Amino acid sequence: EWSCQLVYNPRMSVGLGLSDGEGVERLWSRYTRLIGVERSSSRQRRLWLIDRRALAIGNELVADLGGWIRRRLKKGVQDQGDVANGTLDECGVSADELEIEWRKQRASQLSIRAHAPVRLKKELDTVLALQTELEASEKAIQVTRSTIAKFAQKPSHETITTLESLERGHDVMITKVEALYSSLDVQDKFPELQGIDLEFVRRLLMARDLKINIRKRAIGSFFEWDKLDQAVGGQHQALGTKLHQHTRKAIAKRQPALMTALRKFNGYCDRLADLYQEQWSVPLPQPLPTTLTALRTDQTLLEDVWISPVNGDKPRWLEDKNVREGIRAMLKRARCIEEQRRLGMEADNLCRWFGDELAAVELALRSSISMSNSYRIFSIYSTSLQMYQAQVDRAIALASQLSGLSIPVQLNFVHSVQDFEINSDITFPDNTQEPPANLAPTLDFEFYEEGLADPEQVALEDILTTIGESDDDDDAPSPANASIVWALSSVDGFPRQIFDTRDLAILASPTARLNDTCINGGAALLYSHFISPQAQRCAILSTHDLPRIRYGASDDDLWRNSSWTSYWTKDVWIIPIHRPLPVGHWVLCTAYFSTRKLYLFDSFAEEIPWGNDIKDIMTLISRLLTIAQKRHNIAQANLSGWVAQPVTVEPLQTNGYDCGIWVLAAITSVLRGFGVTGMRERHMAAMRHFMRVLVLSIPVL
Amino acid sequence: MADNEGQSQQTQDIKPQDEQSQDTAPINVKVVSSTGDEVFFKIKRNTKLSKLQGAYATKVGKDVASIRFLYDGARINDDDTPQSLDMEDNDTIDVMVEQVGGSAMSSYQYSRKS
Repeated sequence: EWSCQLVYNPRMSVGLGLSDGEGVERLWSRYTRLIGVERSSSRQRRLWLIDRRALAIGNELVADLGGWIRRRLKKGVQDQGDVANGTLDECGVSADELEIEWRKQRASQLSIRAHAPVRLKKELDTVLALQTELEASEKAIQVTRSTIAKFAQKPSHETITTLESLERGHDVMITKVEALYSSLDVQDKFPELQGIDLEFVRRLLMARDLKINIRKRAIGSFFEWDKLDQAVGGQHQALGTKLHQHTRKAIAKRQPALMTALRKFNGYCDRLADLYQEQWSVPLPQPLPTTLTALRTDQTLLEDVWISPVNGDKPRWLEDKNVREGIRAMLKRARCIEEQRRLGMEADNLCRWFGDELAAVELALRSSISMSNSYRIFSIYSTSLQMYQAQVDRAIALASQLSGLSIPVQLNFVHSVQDFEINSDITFPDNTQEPPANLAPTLDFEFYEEGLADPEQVALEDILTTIGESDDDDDAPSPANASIVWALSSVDGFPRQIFDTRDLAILASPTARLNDTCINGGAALLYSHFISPQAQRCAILSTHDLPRIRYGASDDDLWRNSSWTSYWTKDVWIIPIHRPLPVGHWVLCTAYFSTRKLYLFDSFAEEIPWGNDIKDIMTLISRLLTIAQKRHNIAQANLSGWVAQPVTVEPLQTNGYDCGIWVLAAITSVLRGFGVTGMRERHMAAMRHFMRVLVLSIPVL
Repeated sequence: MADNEGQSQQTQDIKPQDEQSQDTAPINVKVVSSTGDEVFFKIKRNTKLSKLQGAYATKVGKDVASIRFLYDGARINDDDTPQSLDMEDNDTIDVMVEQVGGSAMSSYQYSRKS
């Protein structure tokens, strides 16, 4: 049915691109081998199997994803798009006009009016059948009369009168049928056909029925063709020669009937054109092409014969061939654009995947300290495609950050420190001996400032800490209640984070309120977990920084506690804030320097308390920057014209204990490069668990 | 050390029981609270800083578990000593009071709306 096509044809509905659903179909067909296996398996196992299978198919297909994208781009988007554009240019109607016409076409063809009421159609059909019969009988009478006249030289009086009465009776019947036709109230139920010649209506309806018939046959024939085509492509089960022949024969057998029907329909069309009078303004059906291949591509085949006249002007989408073509081309072009967008998305994903893989390779190379290999793979990259270059850079940067080093000299240094930590922890699991904390931040700073750790200094430090360790042993053994402490040694520029049992208990309990350790340590853990170029733009300040500003701490104090973030090199500052009054609440402010915006996150979406906070935040920012300016001689950032705006205006939290988790969730979204978290309150328990797992998974070196 | 005495508001002496090391010359450590109050301690380089923490907590009258001691931004472990942290004379330890939060607005909000 045409109306079904209008709504559901993938070429006509918005957003489907050039996809033909073939991909999904092939996926299903790859699943077919699971049918037998899963018939007798449990639900869990079934899901598992499907999951495994999907993964395997995905792995298999990802290898060809690039080729697939290129094919779709060239064959689909480029070729079809060019054709569509050509047609659009040819038809000479502007796209806007076509858009309007298309909308009109949809509106009118989908309206109820376009579908004549079923009952009326039935009545009309019977009347028409009756009329055909009558015509036949009239013909028969005529024939009888002429035959009798011809052969019987002297027809008896009786014969003539009988014939005449027959004719009279016939005439009466005709008028009665006419009366019946008018009594059907075609005008009321079908006002469009008012005043139109019965003959024309009859032809029209017959043409309509015939067309429906033709469509059915034609589509059936197309299906058979498809069967052959698919067998050629090898996607389907191969057809045996016999089956092939059989199908071909079937097509051939059905062809004459279809052709006759087509010719008949075209005859109707001509007849209708003859009978047609201008004032009826019923759109005439267009003749159909009489070859199967032409029929296949002909769009009018699917359109019903128009059995109602149009009000006013005939719409251009029905009459003007250019407009019709134009509309089709316009739709095609729209699909092409969508397809391009879709492929772009796929390509992005592919790039990201490639980047991740590359980073893994790079990391592996770096960990194994083989510089020669590293250079080799570099040369491979350089020959790869231009579009991957950014990914390559990203991967290398990420890998160098994850490995923490860029040249083997430094790598050795880190290994030595780690080894040392292992030793110390065997004796005191709760005592992660550390190189002096100021060393840890400089380790990372040096990458930014291209400084190098002085090997001698490093060695010295090593010795010093070792001495400290041995001294420690002289002390009284730690009391039994000093249970296991998860200490995150300094990574990614963060100072050492320590979670003790109390903090863990908070994360374990579903309703405990978070303390500052959970927030600050949690933020550091999240940073390490989501490490990415995006996260590296962020400096995470401590929850204690803002109170320092409020109490007017000295520059030295501020510098001592925040310099490790190297905030002056970062574009995004994440400032978790503690509101002590009246009960204690966590909120989050994110400062974006590039856009000069403060994004305020409060799980209760309160506006009023921000007033003071923002003042303090701006003081914090300006003071920290001034200090950094003094010590590092960097240019003063522009601190005027900042805009603060809430991330959410609807309260997300309804309970009295989750706001800390909310703040961590918001930090997560910022670290991953998003503005606002998509989590809801029901996710908070999972987030809490996630944080707990993060803490527990800190390796006890 | 004598010159330090002048500027310190308070100097407390913590004497560890085990005095036998060679390099145990005491150093002065400044403990600064987030409100800016300063307390000075004299401590041997091999004395555990947990002692300093306990002393500070009793001095300000708080539970030791509710206070965080930070040296150069990193939290101090119970077993750290000035030596293990490579502290120098006149170094500063920052003290933070535990912050707990979860619900502030709820009570405030409801009271305001009703």
